[in-house]
Amino acid sequence: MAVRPSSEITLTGLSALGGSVRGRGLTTVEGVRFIGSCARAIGTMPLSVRRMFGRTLMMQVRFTAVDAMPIIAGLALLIGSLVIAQAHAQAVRFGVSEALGQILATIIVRELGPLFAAIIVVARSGTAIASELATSRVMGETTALEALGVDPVQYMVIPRLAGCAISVALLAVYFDALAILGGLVTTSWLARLPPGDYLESLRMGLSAWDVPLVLLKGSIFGVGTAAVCCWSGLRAARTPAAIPQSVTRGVVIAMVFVFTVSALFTLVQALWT
Amino acid sequence: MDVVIDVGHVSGERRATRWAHPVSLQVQRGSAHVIRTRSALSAPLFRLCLGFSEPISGDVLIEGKAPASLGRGDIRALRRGIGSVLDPDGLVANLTLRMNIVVPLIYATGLEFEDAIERAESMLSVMHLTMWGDLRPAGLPAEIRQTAALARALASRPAVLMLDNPLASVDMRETRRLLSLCKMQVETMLIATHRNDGILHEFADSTWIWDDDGFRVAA
Repeated sequence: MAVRPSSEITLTGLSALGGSVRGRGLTTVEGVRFIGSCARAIGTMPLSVRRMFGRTLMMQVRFTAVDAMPIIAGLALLIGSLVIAQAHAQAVRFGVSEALGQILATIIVRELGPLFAAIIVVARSGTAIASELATSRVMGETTALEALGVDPVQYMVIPRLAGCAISVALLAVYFDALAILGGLVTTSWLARLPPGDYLESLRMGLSAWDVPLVLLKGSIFGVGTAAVCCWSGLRAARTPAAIPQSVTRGVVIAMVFVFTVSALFTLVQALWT
Repeated sequence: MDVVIDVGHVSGERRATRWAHPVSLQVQRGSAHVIRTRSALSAPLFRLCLGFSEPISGDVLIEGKAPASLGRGDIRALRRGIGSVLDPDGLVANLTLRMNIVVPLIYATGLEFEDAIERAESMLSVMHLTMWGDLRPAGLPAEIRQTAALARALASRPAVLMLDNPLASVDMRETRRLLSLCKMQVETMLIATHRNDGILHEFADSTWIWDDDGFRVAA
């Protein structure tokens, strides 16, 4: 068996490393360019587009938010109940069962609500967006629209960004409300805590800033998810095999984005308080 | 006569196709030209003319401008003046035929929604597509899709038409009618066709043949 000289192996490794770094660098540049295209598309949007934009936006919100409400409801009730059930055992041990509402406020309202809403949107709408745009690219739809002078970012991306921002923000609030309801049922049943005490404890755990914070977090998650999935779909190669690849890439990057932003929010919040 | 499309000694698309023989052609304002060729050759030529790619060598000038060197705003403005049908037709699958005509009118031409709908209705009627207007392209026959793609290109009332194998599945009588319509609305046309029935040549001021032996004027 022929053995390759070590210098050749080192060079091959270096070239692979260089190729990978170059590839990532180019992807980053593309991503930055895409953000620039979105900003320009918003800035140069003709007045005539507004009504059309409204219709596309409504369709996006219906698919992303309204159609996702049943699954979000089930998940929120379960998560709210489970967190409270788990917390109850520990709270009783330490004699702080009246703090269950505060635990729910901290863990679910601020963290898990927006996070779960975003994860559901990535799984449902992110995949749909990436595959739809990749298919439209493979089928030559984007090229045909561009050939007629249509900006594909203006037509395909901006309504999805706005739709997902609105949807995730609303779904996060909806998730929180139902998780609180799930928690209420569990505390009444498990801890025999009167609903009034639970709600009072919850009120003490929440601040006036929590609702705007959840809405802000949700809209950032929504914009990020839609942007990543649109970008991934629009950069698909013109072969059918590129469609699943762009969906996978979009979902993975969107998930990383959501968790990173969530961690950053928590960090900033911790430093702030 | 001023030259609208000027392709000079172009030997292919950068990072893609290289042709065996360089191509030169000129389309004057007010004239109609047909290229009898195949898709593998016409598709890159149309991409070059619409600024989707750069030539390996030579120059492509549309209205005196090199599309590949234009910025985003300028290339979009240039494309808005050209009604194009590419191969494949590129009709948006999740829009009805009517909305396929309406969307470019709103986003590229800047028409208000009601005006765009009105114009789309009149295009559908002229092209005998009214009964298909509410349907999505996916399940429609190729001839309907091709006619709809032509309607979309004509709807913006462009100064130039560039059609890549536009009516391949449409019968001769309907093709003749549609091309007469095109000729009435648009004065300058460049049509690539894969058909051999000669029908498109009736509407052309000149016909070129482009195959493996090169680009030449038809006898």
